[in-house]
Amino acid sequence: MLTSHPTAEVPSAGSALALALAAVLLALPAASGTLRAQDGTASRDTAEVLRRPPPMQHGMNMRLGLESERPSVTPWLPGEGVDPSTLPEAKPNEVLRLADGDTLDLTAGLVRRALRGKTVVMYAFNRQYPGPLIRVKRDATIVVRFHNRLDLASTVHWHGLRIDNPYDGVPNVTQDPVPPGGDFVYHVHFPDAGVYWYHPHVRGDIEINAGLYGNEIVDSPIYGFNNPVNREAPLILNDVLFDRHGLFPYGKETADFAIMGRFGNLFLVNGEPDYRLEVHRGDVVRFYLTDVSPTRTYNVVFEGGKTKLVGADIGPFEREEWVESIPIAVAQRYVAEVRYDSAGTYPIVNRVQAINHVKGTFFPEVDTLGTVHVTGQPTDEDHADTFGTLHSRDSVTADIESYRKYFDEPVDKRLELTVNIQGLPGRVQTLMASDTMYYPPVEWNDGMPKMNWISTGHEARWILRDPDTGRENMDIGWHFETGSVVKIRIHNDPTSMHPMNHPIHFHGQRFLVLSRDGVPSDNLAWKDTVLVPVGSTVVILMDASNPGTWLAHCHIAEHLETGMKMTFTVGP
Amino acid sequence: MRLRSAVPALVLLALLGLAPAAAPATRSGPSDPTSAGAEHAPALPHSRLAPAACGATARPPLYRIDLKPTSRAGGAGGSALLRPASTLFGVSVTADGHHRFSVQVQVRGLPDPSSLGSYSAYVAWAAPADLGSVRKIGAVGTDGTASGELAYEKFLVFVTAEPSADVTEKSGPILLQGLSPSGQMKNMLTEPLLNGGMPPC
Repeated sequence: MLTSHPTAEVPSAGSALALALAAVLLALPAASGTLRAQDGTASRDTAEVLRRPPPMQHGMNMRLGLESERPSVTPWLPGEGVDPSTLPEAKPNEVLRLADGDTLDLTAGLVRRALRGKTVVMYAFNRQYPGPLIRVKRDATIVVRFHNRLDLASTVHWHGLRIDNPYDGVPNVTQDPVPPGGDFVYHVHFPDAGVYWYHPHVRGDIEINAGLYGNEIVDSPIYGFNNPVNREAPLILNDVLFDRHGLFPYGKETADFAIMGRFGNLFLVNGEPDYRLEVHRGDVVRFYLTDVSPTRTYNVVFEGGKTKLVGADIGPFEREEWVESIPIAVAQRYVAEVRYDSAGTYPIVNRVQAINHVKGTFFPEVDTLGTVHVTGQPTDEDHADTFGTLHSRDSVTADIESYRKYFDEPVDKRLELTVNIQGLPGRVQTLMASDTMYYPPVEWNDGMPKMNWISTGHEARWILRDPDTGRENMDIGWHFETGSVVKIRIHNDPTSMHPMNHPIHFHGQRFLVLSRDGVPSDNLAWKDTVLVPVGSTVVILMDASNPGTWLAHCHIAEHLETGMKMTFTVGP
Repeated sequence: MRLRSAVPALVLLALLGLAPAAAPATRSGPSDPTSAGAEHAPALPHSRLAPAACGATARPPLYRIDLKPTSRAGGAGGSALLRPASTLFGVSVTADGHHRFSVQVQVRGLPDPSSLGSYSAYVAWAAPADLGSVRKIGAVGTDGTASGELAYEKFLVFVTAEPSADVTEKSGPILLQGLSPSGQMKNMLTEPLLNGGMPPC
């Protein structure tokens, strides 16, 4: 979809002069490299095309002597060497209403898609984008027979579900990776109403980004649990990096874009580059938002409608609230109801204040994610009164009540979020040192795309650190007694070489976000993924009731691939 | 509302904020108020800060602005402590994507405002770095603090002497001023020149 990038801040007279001087001086030695990059790619062989530099946002032409630098990984694309015409064409997804005991065959495979006039090879579950929407009643259990027909090993992780541990889909923790051609059977139980998503847990920077994701919506059997609405619409947000050659290659041996993660420039909503929804005037739409992007945090605004926030990852908030926008981080889900009062065509946008790290400036960025067309026809059933009321969810408050006695207990465990970066080319290291004076709480865009691209899992190691033991990542190994309630403080170190926001996900359990930066939360919802901005401290209360050895990790795909994960065990 | 009388001084401040040797860059102290107190995690040892020679140790606090005195304020000083505004989400932003902060201004050592002229109060203000508008944070109370909420990215905080605590537009002289941490972002093109051809280490 369209992206607009209004003019960046105008520099002051002094800095403009210096800017001009610097541009001239720095452009001279870089000129030949720039020319080669601009004129040669079409005639190069495939290998050279694969090594092309990434597309950048307008105004981020980085002529800083980095033209010849490349990541220390082999560029790689799904279906390498496969003729796309031999692959099945992907199709929009279907809704599968499954009952307790049903069986689903879920096949991950290569598909052909046409995006921006290019034929590209991507991945899909059951040839669908996104994967089939699984709709079940709470407490159902289904059997999923997974068939890996990819060119990579894979698994299926059932994100957010308090699932039985052997079916959590984490390679080398709960199961062996499923090799290409292999199969695995998952028994998937749905204990909590809410909106969830499923995805591979192998090379998520490639497999998820290239199309392997789908939602599960778990309905409560309680009558009236959800507000009456005219329509429901899942919105799965993904962004892929795309240029005139098609998908931009991934790193084969390990992730590239390892510092900030891969920010795409082609926004896909439910796998569609041109998402459209038609409703009638006065309709209330319940949107289920899921961010499956590698790294992007969105600030979603529903133009033309009033927006009511209803729920988060694992069910409703205690109280509904009106909101202007919905900031959603990777792997999180939010449920929002929007009423469209007037006929017209309204965009759904991502509206952020982006950064150009090279220039040291902010600029407004507005990305159109999709459009809602409101017809002049009045709604079939007017829910204005119900929509206009902010409801309290007594059942949620009652469920949380038994945990309140732990709210003021001391912290049980602490985590520090930081990074170690070593071995980048000297020029990159020097430029990054020039960029260490400020990092925003959340990186809304890739403000240093080429330096980010050059960094890989060979150079960057993102770290979860237990400051009480000094252990890091997979050496941490916490243990909690089954049924314990655990208070965990997570602090995002602002002093590391390149601090960044982290969406931290705990597998197999649910938690409450008790406070952010010392401010207690006064409207709670059960969650499985919490965003920790740079410099922030978040305290969560985890209901450690689901036995097994589980993973906790940053859900920025490249951060996970570069080590930012740990295990914890819930057991006797 | 436009800020007219203080424009030259504030432009100068903005320029100073871009300079590589700007005072906040070398300041030490608590990293940020949001990690202070009961939920504060211990600072990391310097051996884990990379690169060792530059950047990390010189980076100003992310959530604190030191307020420096103008010539009329003598030895006064202060700070503006930023705290992400309360939110249901993981981050608090406006519909335009501006980060929302609660701000608490603390001042010390200011003279009685009447000693500066026909003034009876001190008022804290904020303005985006382009000086496009000025927003009142609040009047400085007898406890030396003023509180409010901001939604800017790169901005200035300053304290003026005013004829009344109830003023809605700034008219008096600036006594204290400071630039937001985001104002410390460097231009990678200009920085080597401004710093004698070296990166700002």
